[in-house]
Amino acid sequence: MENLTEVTFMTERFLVDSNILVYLIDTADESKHKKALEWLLTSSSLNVFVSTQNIREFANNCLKKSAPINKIIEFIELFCAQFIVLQDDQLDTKNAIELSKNRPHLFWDASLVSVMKRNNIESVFTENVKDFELLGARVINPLK
Amino acid sequence: MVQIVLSISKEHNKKLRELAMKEFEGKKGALSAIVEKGIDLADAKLKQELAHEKLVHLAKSSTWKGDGKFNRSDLYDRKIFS
Repeated sequence: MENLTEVTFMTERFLVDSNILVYLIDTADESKHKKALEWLLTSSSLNVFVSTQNIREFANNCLKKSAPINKIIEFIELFCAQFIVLQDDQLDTKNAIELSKNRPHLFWDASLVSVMKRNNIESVFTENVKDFELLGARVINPLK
Repeated sequence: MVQIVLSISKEHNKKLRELAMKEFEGKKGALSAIVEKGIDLADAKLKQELAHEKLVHLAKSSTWKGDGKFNRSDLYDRKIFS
């Protein structure tokens, strides 16, 4: 007989936020890099999704801080091979405007929350706990 | 299309037929369709596992030091007026 708890856990869907992806390549903060690695080791048994917005943010952050371009590309290729990539579109922009009404500083977080909602993802792995909770997402901080 | 002959256990035979009935309502070619779907799933899973191993290795061997921070606003917000 199947273990029902395990099946339920396996079908839960998670988004991984850009900050966790960045700490996998950025070793400046040893503690964050180590925690991100620990998270990565456990992630293979989970249904983890990544938005194209996360991929762009990862690339932009690393480029601005002069990470080696070949490494940035290598990481991106492997993110896209391990995680399920979700495209964002004009609907997410519209939803983000609504979600971040009166809180315009949350627009880009809200855009990710829209992608999550459209794809039935309730939880996000991020260190940005406060903002995602304000937008109604369930947050798991792997760096804690 | 090619034909192959293989041996599977009674339990897997039972599962195969149940899945064919459930997924394709037992239509013609349902058994082949389920087998093909299983192969595609196994292939995707193996590729995902391989990517995971490579990603772990790449992250473990990273020596790049940025600033240890990520701020979403910094990526998007530029002062329009100075």
